[in-house]
Amino acid sequence: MTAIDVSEVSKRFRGRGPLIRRWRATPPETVALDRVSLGIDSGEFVGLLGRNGAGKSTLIRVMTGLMVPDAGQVRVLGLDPNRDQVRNARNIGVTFGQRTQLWWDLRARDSFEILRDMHGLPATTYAGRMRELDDVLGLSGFWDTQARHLSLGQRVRCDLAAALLHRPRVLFLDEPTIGLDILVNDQVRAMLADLARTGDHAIVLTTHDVADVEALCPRIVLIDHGKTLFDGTLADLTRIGARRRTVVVELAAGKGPPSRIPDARLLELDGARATYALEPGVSQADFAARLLAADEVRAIDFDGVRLEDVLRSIYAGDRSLLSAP
Amino acid sequence: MTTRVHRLARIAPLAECMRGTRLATTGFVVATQVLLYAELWRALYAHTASVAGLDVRQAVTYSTLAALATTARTMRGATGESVKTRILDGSIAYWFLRPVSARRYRAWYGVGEALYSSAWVVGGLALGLGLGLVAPPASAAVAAVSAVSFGLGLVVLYCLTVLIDIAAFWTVSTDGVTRCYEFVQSLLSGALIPLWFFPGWLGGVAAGLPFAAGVSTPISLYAGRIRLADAVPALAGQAGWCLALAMVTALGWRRAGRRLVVLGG
Repeated sequence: MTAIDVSEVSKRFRGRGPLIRRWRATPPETVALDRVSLGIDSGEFVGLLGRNGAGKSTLIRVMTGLMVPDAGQVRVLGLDPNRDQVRNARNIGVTFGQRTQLWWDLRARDSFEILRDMHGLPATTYAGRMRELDDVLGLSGFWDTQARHLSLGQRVRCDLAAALLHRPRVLFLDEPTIGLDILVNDQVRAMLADLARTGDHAIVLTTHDVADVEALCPRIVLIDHGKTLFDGTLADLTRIGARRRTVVVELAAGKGPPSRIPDARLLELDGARATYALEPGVSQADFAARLLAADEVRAIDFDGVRLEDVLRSIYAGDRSLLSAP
Repeated sequence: MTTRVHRLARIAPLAECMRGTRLATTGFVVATQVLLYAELWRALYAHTASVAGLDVRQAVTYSTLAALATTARTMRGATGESVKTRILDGSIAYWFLRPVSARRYRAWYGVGEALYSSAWVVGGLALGLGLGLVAPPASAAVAAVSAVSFGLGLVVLYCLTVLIDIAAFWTVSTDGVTRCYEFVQSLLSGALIPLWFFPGWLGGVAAGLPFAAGVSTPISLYAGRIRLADAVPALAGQAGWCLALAMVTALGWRRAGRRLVVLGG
């Protein structure tokens, strides 16, 4: 079942400079989204990735109903998220990593109780859910603390609990693990993975933490300049990256790196270290074997197959990876 | 599932009570204001028994009640729960992502603020009566009519505050508008100086604007400046302002939703 349906959505922003300059020049226009289409089914966990300013946040705001698109249409579980904002809110849970929905002067527990009242959760249901969330996120140690006195990690955990309290069927998580230590990060990831495994939730994750994406998102949507650059599986994206592999070779002291190696092209030379690009179809094992047979090599470091490297290349403007067959 | 939105009214008082210093500050500000105004009015009446048909007891009663009625102003911004602050920290988004509309949420929050400030008025009134600062109402009917009028005044003040606040959807910062509003509201509501001391043209301006309905009308009824026989038109005038302002704020909220700007990416 399609949980989120984004169809040909466009959004432009007109810049608003200082008043004194507004009459002198036409304000610049930024295309935040350009005919973006996206369908996300229940049970899917999608990583929405892109550089800063790529259009991810705008897309999240359009999908959550905070922003009305200039063109196109959005449906979340059949509802227009902007026109049916109140009904839609019962179906969705949202976290914005840097922004809290807790009431600053109140204890975290008071904030949960206010949300309980807003969602109309019966007392027993609420108590059960708080127990479950406490088990995973370890909230009870600080839920009697005023929100303004919580550490970043504690606040992020509370915000995550606040988003999950009403068991939403669609989750929008914007940097949900920001500020968490490794152990809590692992717990949160495990909880989100459990949630995804139930198959009842559609989850959209935007993050710059590639490890989160690799651990959680079988599907990746890559946005750049308001357009969808890639929409496919994590495995596909890494496979695409593998087409453009680089290898850093460090030869034994006193030996300069060869300018030419079969099946590889020299990209950069830095003292005894040289970076080569492997030709398509060449296996790493064969290349390493040939190199080791010919020269005294101190180190070989294959690069370019990790998601982080693929994203780095694409963010840097190398689109050939995506257009290559 | 049934939402229990009325419970949102406890947010503002709860937030105030969470910070003991806030309670102490509000008490200090109100007490200082009441005592200083009482001293000023006594000094003004030192050589005369009556000014503009008002004796010193009525003047002190008026100023004490005016200081108490505007208690809500001293807590504004304390809990930080305003459109302006939420737009600036970006968390305004959550107001539009909950199963209670932003307008209803702000209204129930306002009910909490009104109840909180009413508690100060009731407590202050009791203390003022006990200390002899405030004259008791002329009759039970005057007390009842004043209480109704005070309630309508709270609605008027709430609507005006919200209208200024939701201007932030268009202007982001409302500092200038708020400064202007605070001054105009203090002056034209009669919170600083009773309206009957105003020159004719300024009295006419004040009468044509809603501010007086928030403070001057209920206190004038209590102090006997508006006679019980004239209470109905006074209350009708307040109710009219409530209706008109509620309609304008409803329209403002409808348009605000489409003007929502969440700062930062």
